[in-house]
Amino acid sequence: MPVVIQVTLRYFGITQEVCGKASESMELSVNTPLMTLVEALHTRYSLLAQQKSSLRYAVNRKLVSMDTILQEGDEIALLPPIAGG
Amino acid sequence: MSKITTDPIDITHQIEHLRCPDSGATALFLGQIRNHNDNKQVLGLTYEAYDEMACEVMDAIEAEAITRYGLSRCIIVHRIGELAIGDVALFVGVSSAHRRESFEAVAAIVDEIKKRVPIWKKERYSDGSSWLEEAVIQGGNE
Repeated sequence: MPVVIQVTLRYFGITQEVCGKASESMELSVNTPLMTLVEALHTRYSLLAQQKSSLRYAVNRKLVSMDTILQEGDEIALLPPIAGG
Repeated sequence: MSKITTDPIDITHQIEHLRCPDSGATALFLGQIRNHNDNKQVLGLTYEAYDEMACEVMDAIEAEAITRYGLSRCIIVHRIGELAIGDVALFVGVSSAHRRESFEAVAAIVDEIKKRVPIWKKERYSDGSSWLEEAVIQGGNE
């Protein structure tokens, strides 16, 4: 059984500027919930923590809750407040 | 079928796709770039989208509107990239047997786009730029 999984992170809008990139890959332990990944991102990108109350998260293009368990190959998107139209 | 594009939206072309023999009404909404916001002069906008998710959500909004309002056709096109004052950023067009359904559907579709579609815009001013935060994104049917 694998002990790590690989996921892809995608950043949009202000999160792309805060993190300085549009996407990156990351290795996580199996059974990692989204909340744990988000906390790690706040440590890595301190300015991201300032956005956290307004951020939502999508896994494989669907909005998810923070207790979602991440899977191998998942694409996790950080979604700041939108302004389409 | 909805679309995200960096090209100018061909409005005449889209209207042709809305016309069909069983429709007596066609209604449109065009979202255009205006030159001011919050008492600041706006020079232009940059739109960014999570393209794959945005198309999925816009397809869902189209399907919901077709069912709810009994539409014959429904088309959503959102332009992204660098836009200038007066450019059309959003095209919403519907057709239906009678006018009331088309009028109501267009307004409802635009409201749903503004709540649910992962698209962001950054306004450019003479002294800088800023990301607009209009709504925390919501899922459908919540």
